[in-house]
Amino acid sequence: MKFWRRQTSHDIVRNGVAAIFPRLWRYSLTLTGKPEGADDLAQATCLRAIEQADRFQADTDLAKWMFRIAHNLWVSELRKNAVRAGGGLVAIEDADLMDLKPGPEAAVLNREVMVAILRLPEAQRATVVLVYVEGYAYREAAEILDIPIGTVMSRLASARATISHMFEHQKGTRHGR
Amino acid sequence: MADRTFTDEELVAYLDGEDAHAPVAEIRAALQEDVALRQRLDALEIDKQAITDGFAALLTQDRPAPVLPEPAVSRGHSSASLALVASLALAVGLGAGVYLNRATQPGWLEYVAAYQALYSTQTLAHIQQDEAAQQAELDRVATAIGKMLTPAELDTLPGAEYKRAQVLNFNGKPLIQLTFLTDDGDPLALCIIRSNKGRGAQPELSRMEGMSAAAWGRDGYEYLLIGGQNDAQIERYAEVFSEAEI
Repeated sequence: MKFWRRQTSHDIVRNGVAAIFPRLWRYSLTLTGKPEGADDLAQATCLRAIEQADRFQADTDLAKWMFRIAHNLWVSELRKNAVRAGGGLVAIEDADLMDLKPGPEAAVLNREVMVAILRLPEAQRATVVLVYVEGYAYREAAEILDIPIGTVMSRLASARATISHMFEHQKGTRHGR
Repeated sequence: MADRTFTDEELVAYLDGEDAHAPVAEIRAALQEDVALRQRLDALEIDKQAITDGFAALLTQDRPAPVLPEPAVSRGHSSASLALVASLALAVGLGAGVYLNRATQPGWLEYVAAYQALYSTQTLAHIQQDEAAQQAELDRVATAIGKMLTPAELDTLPGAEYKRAQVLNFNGKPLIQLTFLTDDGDPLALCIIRSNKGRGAQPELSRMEGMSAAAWGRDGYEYLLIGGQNDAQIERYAEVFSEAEI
């Protein structure tokens, strides 16, 4: 019986990976700052997810579970290598962003905002993407990043202040709350 | 209440509709008369729609799909299920060769192959380093497995250019990945890991993840050269590296 339950979570993970992959790649790019780094992290995350599929709880959010794996892999293993190879903290460079395709709805402002967010410090940009791009609640983002909710809030506050200041002149057209 | 000073965090939670983390009623009341508070809120405003739309472009980058191990291999990664496979194989009396093959390769070759399958021409085409930079990179990377290498000894393949080196990690064990780009645009990787499995010095050819691959061993290291679909080319290159005792 136990064997069957295990099979089920394996199947859910294995069958769910492909649909989540584009979002996983996007989050991986946010962490690594480089398209090829994102390829590596997203792939490693898929492999780790399959390896650890036993631990996935069938009635929970698979994407959130995989984001958490990606974050842990990045912090525990891949970042060290990236830092070693690149020297210093992983900053996003223009050359890396040039490789990205603009996408169908790439209004200039949207792209500028995206690039500005990708240039935020790593901790801030990861939090911004989880909350404002992926739509996770503060509590969920805190679980993925393994930090207190207060830290999520202070990272968002810093990020908002920076981005708000950068795009001050474009304000007034579209607003949040 | 009018004197209440709100933190930026509270204001952001208010803007985000995270009402459990913001004194919503107090902020609303204060906004009625507090111009400075309105300005503070404004300084935290961002265009969420622009963020959503901007990041949507990252979903359509046509990156290679993930390569997943075959189900049997993936379960083989955990030692408990590997033991199960082992006992079943012995009990049922399956060919010992099949079992040994599984048991002695619980993964690094498959791991590297799956990783390599994600590489495209574009992954490597833009990488241009001079020899000094390549040497510095190799010096950093090579210490991970205790092997010294120079760009000159790597850049010896006819029809393929040496690109870069990096350290990967398999089950906590470092392995180094040296990448090459062929004139036909195929990304290749030579991966080296410390091992005393005693693999022979003669490259053994196979197909992994649909790519040509050759594996051999020498002096406490195992080697895997993989990439593209040109078996003859991989065989030739594997012999070059094996004979040069890289």
